[in-house]
Amino acid sequence: MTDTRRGGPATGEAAPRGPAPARAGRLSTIGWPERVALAAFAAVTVALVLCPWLVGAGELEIVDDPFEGVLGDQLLGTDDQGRDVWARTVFGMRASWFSAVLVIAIGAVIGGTIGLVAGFAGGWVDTVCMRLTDAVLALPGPLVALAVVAATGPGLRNTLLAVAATWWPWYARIVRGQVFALSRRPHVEAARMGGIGRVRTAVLHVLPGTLGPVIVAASLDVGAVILVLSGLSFLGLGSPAPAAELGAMTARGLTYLFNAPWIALAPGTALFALGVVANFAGDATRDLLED
Amino acid sequence: MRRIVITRILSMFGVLMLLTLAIFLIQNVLPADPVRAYFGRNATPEQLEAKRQELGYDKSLPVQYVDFLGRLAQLDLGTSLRTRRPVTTDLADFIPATFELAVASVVIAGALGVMLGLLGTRRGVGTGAVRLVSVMWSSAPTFFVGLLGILLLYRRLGWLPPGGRTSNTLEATSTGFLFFGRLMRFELAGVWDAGRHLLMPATVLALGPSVAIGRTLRGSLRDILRDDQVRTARVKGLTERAVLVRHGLRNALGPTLSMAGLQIGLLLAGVIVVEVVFSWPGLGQYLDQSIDRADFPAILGVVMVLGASYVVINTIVDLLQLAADPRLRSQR
Repeated sequence: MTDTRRGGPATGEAAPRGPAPARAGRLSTIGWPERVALAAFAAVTVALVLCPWLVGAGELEIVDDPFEGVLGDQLLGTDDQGRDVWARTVFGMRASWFSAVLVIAIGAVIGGTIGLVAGFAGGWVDTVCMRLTDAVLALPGPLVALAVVAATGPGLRNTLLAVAATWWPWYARIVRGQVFALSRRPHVEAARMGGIGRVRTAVLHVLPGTLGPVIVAASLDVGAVILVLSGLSFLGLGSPAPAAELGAMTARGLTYLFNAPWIALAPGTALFALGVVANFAGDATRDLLED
Repeated sequence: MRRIVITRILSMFGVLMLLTLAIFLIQNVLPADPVRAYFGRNATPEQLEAKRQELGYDKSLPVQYVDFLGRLAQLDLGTSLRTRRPVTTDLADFIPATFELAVASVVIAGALGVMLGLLGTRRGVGTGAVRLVSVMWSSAPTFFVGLLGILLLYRRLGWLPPGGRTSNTLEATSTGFLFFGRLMRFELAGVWDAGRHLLMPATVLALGPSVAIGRTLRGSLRDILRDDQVRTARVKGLTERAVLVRHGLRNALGPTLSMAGLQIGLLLAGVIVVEVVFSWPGLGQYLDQSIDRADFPAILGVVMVLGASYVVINTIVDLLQLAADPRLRSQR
């Protein structure tokens, strides 16, 4: 559950930036390694959407005797109950990948709303919102999430909500910083003088300008969220038992580590691969949008 | 200066209160019925009602919270449903093992982090490779690195033990400060044995934080080494090493320290998984077993201890930063 999120107090306060120069956002501004990383991100997403049609077996289907070795009838052998390890790993990857994206989406919406309200309202509303944000940021997120899941009972929905509930403060800070910077720009002044309402101004003229930095932060977070979710699942706080989840599969496989190492290694390697793709794609997105 | 320190410490207590509030709410509001959880399914309504009154669940929430704080002040975290002992007693048994692991890990993370940071400042072929390895390292789940380590260093090479704190079966279940205790008594064979057991879990736990520390150090060093003062120092004829240590590292210390504090805090969450992988008899393993049996008082007790350590450590690091960088003191 080690989390290597960007930041720390020194860099946490997002530097308000003006609108990106026109050339940012064009593929030609980034090098080939970054393009490959972005392509890999897209490829993984598509492949995992299509995965029920790409693997031969279902995640719960018993296909052979238990503990069949790698490269036998099944690509990655079978587990202690005779289920196809490759199929379960792929379904587990799908669960991890889209869970992480969902957690970040929820976190970004919560944080973005708070940041937008704080930055636009100013005054005491801003103070209250940001104090709350700082306080949540000062708590150890993964631990609080763990306690919430343990209390509400393990299950995918509870886990996702618990992690999202601790993951929004960064987005609140980023959006608020952007709103402050943007609301002094001429087009917002113009909107105000044109008699456009505050809410309408906020949503139509300020919100779009905050999207870039939020997308960058979100893409950098995918890898970290995958790790946090897999840690919770490893401890038995993800989907309940028979479901294919990479962390839980690895934990189960530890029992057979010396006799049937593939049961633990396959889901562990899959998590590693997802993390690498997500982190490189995150770096590439930053280069693409922030240049 | 004094005012800043006092404000910082007060805000630490504020956050600690928030932590207790969060844990109180998790304990009392989220589960459908904490009393039913205590008894299990076969409780009579009379039993439930009596326990409810005994635990004070019939009172209003604010009153319950004050009661909760009162019990906390007396170090009363309730009774574990699994071991049937006071949670505080259980925690006291398991804290030393976790403490040793965490301290060893922080030392390794610091050393590795500085090394990575310095390697990254060298120009040439190395930089890209260091960056690549950093990203790869921070993408790997700790339990995956742990089991790779066990397969390679124990199963294949036989260099390090696969888990536990000692090879001595008599002491295997003992609690307390094994490594530091032996170190104090100069039992060299014992120190060697405990150190070998400590090395792999501590290193695995340190990998993620070391990458983050290294990345921050590299970033701030790169900015500082472009600075005018560094050019002046070079022109003055200082050796490259002196420039790096006196002008570079010293100025890069601030951001790196604050990142290190954040990472040490997160390491306290990572320790749970690492202890499970390496059968390390500390808080993490206790937590894992408590999760299996839905033992809420124990789970929340561990979260309280680790969470409070996180908050306190981050405050200490902030104060250290204040001591290291005079510029921060003049800011409000």
